[in-house]
Amino acid sequence: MLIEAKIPSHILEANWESLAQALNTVGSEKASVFLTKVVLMLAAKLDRPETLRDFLDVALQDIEPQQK
Amino acid sequence: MPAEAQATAVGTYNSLYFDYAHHPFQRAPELDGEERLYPVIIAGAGPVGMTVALDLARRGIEVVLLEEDDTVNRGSRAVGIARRSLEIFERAGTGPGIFETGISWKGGQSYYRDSLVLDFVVQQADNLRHPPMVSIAQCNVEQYLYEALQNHPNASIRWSSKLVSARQDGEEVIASVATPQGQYDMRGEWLVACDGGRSAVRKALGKELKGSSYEGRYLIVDIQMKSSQPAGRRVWFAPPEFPGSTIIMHKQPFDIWRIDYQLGPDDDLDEEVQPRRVRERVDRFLKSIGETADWAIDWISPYRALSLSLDSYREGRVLFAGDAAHLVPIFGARGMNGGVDDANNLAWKLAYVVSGWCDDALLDSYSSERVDAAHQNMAFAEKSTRFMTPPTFGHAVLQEAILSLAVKEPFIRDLINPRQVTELRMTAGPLRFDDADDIRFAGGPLPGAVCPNLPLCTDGPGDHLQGRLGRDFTLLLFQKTDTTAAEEMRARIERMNIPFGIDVVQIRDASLYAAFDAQDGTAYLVRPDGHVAGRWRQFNADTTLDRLLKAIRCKTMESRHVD
Ligand SMILES: Cc1cc2nc3c(=O)[nH]c(=O)nc-3n(C[C@H](O)[C@H](O)[C@H](O)COP(=O)(O)OP(=O)(O)OC[C@H]3O[C@@H](n4cnc5c(N)ncnc54)[C@H](O)[C@@H]3O)c2cc1C
Repeated sequence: MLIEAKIPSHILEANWESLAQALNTVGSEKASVFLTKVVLMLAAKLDRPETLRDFLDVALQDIEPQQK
Repeated sequence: MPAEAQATAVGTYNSLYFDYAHHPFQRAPELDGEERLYPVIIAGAGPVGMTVALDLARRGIEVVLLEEDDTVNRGSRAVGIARRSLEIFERAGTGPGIFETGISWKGGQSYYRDSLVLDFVVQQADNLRHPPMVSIAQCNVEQYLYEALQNHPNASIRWSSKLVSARQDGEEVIASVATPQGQYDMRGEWLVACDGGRSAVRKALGKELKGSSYEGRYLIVDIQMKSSQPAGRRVWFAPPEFPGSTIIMHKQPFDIWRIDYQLGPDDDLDEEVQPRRVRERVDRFLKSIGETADWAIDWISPYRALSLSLDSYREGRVLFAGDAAHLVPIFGARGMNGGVDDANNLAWKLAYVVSGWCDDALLDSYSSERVDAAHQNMAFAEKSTRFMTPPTFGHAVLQEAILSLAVKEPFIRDLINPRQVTELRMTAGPLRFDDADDIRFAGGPLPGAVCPNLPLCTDGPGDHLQGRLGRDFTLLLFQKTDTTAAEEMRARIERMNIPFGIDVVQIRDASLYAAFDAQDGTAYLVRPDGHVAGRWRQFNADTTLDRLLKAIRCKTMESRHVD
């Protein structure tokens, strides 16, 4: 487990909804570019920007890799 | 290929801005059965071969260059000449012509769609003699090198002489040379392969370049146009007129502009290189940046990035330099610049070995230092290439994300910076005295770094530190008060009976004390190629100079040890 902090559920829900709305606005074609922008900004806000690598590792789990 | 600049006959090309001199073939003595052993043969009179030749010649070594063509480089190749290359050229004897003719620049702009996303200035001390970069065409650079070579009767170029194969035994190298009047064999103690990316020497010796190649294709177009567009590196990512493409523009002397634009994966190259098609694209681009001047195409060539190197640049009596040894993507502007640095590293070592001053093991340090440098250059250039022509889905997503974020968020703009001029430092090798790098230094050039070309204020304006460096080693002795220190050091070095020079230069200049973090008694030892070998807060000649001689495999030293 990487994230130990307990996030209040109203915040989790609000983030969920705003992310879904933003993805709807962008559409599937540009979703990866859009999410990458978000991640680059979040990474810049981290205390240790290199923490992003750990997040990537966790996010890579349980997701089906693209067929090559 | 030549475009509007008329092709007059097969193999000739009249440039809009450069007069090509075609040198007549001169019959080689070997064709008439006269043969001898030359100390150094250089294959290829490109920028690297000529720089090696120039530096060897000024060190008194006889060199013969074999050149397949009868003139300097045709058409568009390098334009971005780094400060370090300018320093090397001037020390090798070209004079200031390349610097003075070139267009100096120190930064540039990048645009994403129609927004400015990066306006960068290269950070360098503002009192160095040269700017970070000048733009000047490779043919002009080669012409200056060629002219400088004319001052050396011990250097000659055999034009229209193609090396077709090379072989060696432990004693010598034999080059087979094809000419308009027949083929001959030529013998050399050493062969320097500067015969470019398709090196025949490399093939003859069965050596292979290793690394990666990139899919993205660019067209390189040089046009002549009287325009007031600014100098520097200007890049347009996904400009409104060319969504999905990247366009780069550089100002060169003689009203020449280099325009590089990215082709799409579906574009048909044969069609795209047609002058009519190029004219259409360039026209649309120029109009989109508000340019109204008339223009004509000088040269068009396709380009694909390669990032490759040999594992070793020495194979017995054969040494590889420049594109024959490594190919670096153009987006880093490090191909020719890296090759010129090879030449600068190699020439003094080869001269010392040919003169019998040092064991040939010294040449292994050429290979290790320059292979390492090539990897550093390739890493910089590949970073730039991954941005300029994203090789994967992920890189393409990141490119778009970074560019669109950069419109409003400055924090990310650094990723767009091409870092073409970050200077290299030798990271390892027997010729670097690391433990001399005393922790008491709080600044100044580190061992392995280039001795900066700072002005010498006490000696009047116009004089710079590199102008004071000797042809061989130089000891910069920081001493404000003791007037006899330098003299004593010279006398001491004299007694050591070293076959080459160690010039002692006394530094009194306060600004240099600051730049080198020096105190009275501090010394920096600078190699013949201008790199700092070591530095000492308080210099002790006895231990240090012995160590130097050992490190460079000085024969006098070895024999003294035997004594
Ligand atoms: C479009 C483009 C843009 C570039 N921009 C830059 C830049 O901005 N900055 C930079 O630093 N680099 C740049 N480069 C790279 C640069 O042009 C090369 O790195 C540089 O030319 C290498 O010099 P060289 O002397 O090793 O080889 P070359 O310039 O290729 O010279 C080799 C010489 O050997 C001769 N030769 C070849 N085979 C034989 C043979 N068998 N026998 C005898 N002679 C032979 C050739 O005729 C030639 O004269 C660019 C390259 C391209 C293509």
